[in-house]
Amino acid sequence: MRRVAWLACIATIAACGGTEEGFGSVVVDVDGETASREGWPVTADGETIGFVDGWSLSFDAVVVSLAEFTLATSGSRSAELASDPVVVDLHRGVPTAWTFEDVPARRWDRVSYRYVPPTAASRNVNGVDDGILEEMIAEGATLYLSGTATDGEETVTFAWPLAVRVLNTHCHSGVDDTDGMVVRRSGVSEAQLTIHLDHLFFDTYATDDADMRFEPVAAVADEDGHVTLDALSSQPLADLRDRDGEPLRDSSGVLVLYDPGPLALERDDLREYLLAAATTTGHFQGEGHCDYERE
Amino acid sequence: MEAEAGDADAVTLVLDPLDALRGHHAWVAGLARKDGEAIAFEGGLDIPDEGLARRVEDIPLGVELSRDGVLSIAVRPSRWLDGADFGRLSPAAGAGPRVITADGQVHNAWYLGARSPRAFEARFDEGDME
Repeated sequence: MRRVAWLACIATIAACGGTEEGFGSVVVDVDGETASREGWPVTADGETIGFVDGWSLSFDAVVVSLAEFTLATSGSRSAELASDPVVVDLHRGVPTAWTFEDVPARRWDRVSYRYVPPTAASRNVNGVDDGILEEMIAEGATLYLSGTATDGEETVTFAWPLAVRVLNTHCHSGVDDTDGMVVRRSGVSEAQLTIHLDHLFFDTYATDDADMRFEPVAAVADEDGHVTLDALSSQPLADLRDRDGEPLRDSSGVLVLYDPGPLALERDDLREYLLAAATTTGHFQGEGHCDYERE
Repeated sequence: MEAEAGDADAVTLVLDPLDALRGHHAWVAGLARKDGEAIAFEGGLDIPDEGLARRVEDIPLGVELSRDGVLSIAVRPSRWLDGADFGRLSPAAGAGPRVITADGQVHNAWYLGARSPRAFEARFDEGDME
């Protein structure tokens, strides 16, 4: 894909900075980390990440609908990338969402992208299931997760279209700890939009010592062992219940409390918590954070 | 206090404990009634000084702050105990009220309710400060 402004730049190349900077290519991959492909628990760099309440989980699909990947500068200059809306399934690998040629080579310290609901015109990058895509369009969902979880005794399934529009802006690089990224002259620069799925299962956003839990989710499975997104509404954050309907306690006997911290919730229940948590999943170059704005 | 004039979409507060509240962030005492049963209760709210636990963000404001106006922050105690189940307070040792303890459901509900932006109301009134 070429930059839409490229032809304009031929006529006014000095104004576009081309003669001084040169140009490079940018490849934008989307990665749901190992968990999107292998589930939890997962071991990476000698550290095992998983649910503290004994559940394991595997995904069947992790679909994200993205648009408007932008490179700009704090001085309001834009690379004017033409990034069409795409849908990707992160369970199926690490797809390349966009490749941009002839991007001015320089530091772009303002990187942003959006979670937007897909449309029939969205480009299906890596074989997103047609049925899932139709459901996402119908529900206005930007994220779609489906999978299976078990604690060794009980097995539950889930399929959640998450309707959260998010602007991820001012993205910080998890690679070199700087704002944005550098486009190298005459080379290929790699950008990665990293989707942190573990955020969906954190039990607190008030502190940085969150645990991942699944028991409050599994507790509202229907008689077929399926957990719908709406069923999570029946779990008040201040009074979470276990599958027997008793107050949910951790392994120490302490009541389990989910703390949304600064997350804005319309209601204090697990469904709203999950949707609010979904707004924080978008990262840049691995662990790099963005500013999240729910739209 | 003085502040900069201009647009303000929301207010962020940081909650600190007060000696006047017996060292707690808040203190309540009252009578809860349900299905003909009345439960007297009292207790303090403690919010740990960890991470963002004491911050309350996104209290809606949506005004243009001008010179000489007054910004008011009102507390809505009615929101504090949304979701509290007073029937789960342990019985009082004597004739006094049941005590809200930090390990119980009522404290958990209060902990969430008191730190919600819905527990506050921000208002800006233009005009001369008295």
